[in-house]
Amino acid sequence: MSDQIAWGGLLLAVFAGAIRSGTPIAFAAIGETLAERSGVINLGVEGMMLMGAMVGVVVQVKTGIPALSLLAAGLAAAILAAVHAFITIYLNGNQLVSGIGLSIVGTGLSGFLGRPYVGVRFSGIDVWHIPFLKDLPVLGKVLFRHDALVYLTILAAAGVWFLLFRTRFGLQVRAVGEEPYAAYAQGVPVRQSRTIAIILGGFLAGIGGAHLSLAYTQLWAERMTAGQGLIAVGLVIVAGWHPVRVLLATYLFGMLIVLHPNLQASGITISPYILATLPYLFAVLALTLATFVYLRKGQGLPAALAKEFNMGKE
Amino acid sequence: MRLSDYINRWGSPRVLALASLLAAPLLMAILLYAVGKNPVSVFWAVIVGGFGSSLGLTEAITRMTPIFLCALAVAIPAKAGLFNIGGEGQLHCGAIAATALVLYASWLPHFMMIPFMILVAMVGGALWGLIPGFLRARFQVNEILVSLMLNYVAIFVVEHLVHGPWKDPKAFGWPYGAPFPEWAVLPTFGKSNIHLGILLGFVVVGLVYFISRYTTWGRSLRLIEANPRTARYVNVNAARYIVILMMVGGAMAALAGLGEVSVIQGRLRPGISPGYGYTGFLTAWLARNNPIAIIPVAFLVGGLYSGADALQLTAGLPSSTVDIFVGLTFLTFLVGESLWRTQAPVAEEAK
Repeated sequence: MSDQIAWGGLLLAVFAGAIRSGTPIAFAAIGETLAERSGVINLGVEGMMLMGAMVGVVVQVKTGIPALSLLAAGLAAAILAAVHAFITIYLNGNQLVSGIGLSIVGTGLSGFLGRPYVGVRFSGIDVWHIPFLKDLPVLGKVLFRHDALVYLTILAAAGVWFLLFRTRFGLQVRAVGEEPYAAYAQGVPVRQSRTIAIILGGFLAGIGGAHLSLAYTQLWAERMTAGQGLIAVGLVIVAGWHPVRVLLATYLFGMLIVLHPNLQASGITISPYILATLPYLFAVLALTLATFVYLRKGQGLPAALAKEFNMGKE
Repeated sequence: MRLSDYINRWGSPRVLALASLLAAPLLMAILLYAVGKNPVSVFWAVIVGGFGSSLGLTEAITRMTPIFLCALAVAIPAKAGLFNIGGEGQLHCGAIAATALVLYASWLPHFMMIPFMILVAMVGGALWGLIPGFLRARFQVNEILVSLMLNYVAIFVVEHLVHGPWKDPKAFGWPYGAPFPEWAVLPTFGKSNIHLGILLGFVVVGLVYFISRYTTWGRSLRLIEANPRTARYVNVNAARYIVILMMVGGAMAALAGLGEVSVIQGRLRPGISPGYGYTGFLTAWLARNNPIAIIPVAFLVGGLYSGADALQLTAGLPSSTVDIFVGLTFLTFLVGESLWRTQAPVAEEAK
């Protein structure tokens, strides 16, 4: 009996922790989904998250207004994303090179400019207990005792889903991600759609970084994302380029991260790291099957991903 | 109005391309000036620290080694038009394989350990390169995405090993593997950390140069790169080359991993690579995937990082300063290259 209670408590802690720790990755991955749907891969998410995390802290320390800090964080990351858009879309520069380069610049710049703020204490974004719902048995603890940004991820996923699949702009984004030349011939502004998608994606990555520094740790530290940006890029592929599935994939992944200390505490020796490899192995398998059976549409792989769109001299 | 029209209004794109090469130092100087540092003295400190003293030079070559090897891991598959972004994972696989040998084959005569370690590490990396190579060759699966995915898998396997089965009980609870015994440390030059890995890299550069220039293999490769369809007509099996080149690439990155666990860190542990696979990708791109050109480019990048250490001591600047500079340099070169291409005739591109 006491065993069952321990298990229940463990599960609750894992679920709640997964949602909380997965939130930064979720924002970044939802944004990256939008960008990749337009046919541009952005490996600079790591740098963009770090810039968001750093700028968020700076503005929060100076003003103390969370909404302003978040906006600034998103904009800082969006600026980096705009550079990526300019290089890859308007100059036809290599997408992988630009992304990795921006990742390094963002990491360096956030470390450089954020140095006076390392270890500075500030009042960040606190947990927000939703009235009444928080008192629900079980669910209240897991779902309704988080900071506001956690709820915003759901809004972001739903919003990007709506944008992609229910608006004219989304149709254009998907069209330029699949067949940019055909879309161009139909009068779709290829470059413009891609630029907007990338910049919006960067904005979300910045918000994700800011969640990490303003809500999760309430502290700025150099390189604090520790690879989460790249993980976000990976999870987009795992989720088959779908904004809602990517949210679920992130929570699943967050669960694996949180599972580790909890499992050790309860004396179970299944390795969370081995579990963590499974989504990626699954993604490789899914990608192979999708390409082999040629069900690319169903899997959502944008056909023009990471390919150059160049009308030459027209 | 198209971008090229704007460019033409400002001047020839080629002039702009060349001017963009100066943009990185210029932007950096502005940033340094803005935080109250004298840009000239900072640049000088990096140059002296990275290239100007024997200590700095030694450190530059040490830092260059993994970047150089990971760049080869990109440049070799690029000969068949492939993008190997999995250097990071292949590096970790090499590290795992080498550590496994040290742990489970300690009965080997000591003098045989190092040759076997090199072999086993290379096989480990090659197997990791085989997966995206095979999937690409056989099923046309995008090798960028597969090799990227496999990076996470390899890194998590390392995490698992050092937290679990391979954790050194003597490491005070840290997630470290057991230290490599003396006879499993690659030979180094004098007291420095410059190890055999860089020499192996040079040998491979020579081999690649020779093979691609003077053998049938090389000729077939050039054919595949230029026109895969023609290659098929003349019975050149592109699939086989794709698999082999990805495996060779993986083996190169694995050597970098071997050097890290055997010499630099002395054990398997998390974070053996601060993104060498990705820096290697940029380095290879900057060298236009030319193995010989990779040597000086990797040396320059290594020197910048080594100069950064000096910067911390002399100018009181954080090491992240150099990340900004390295990143900006790659980006401005990318801008320059892209501008240069905007007016290159299409025929020249297809060459």
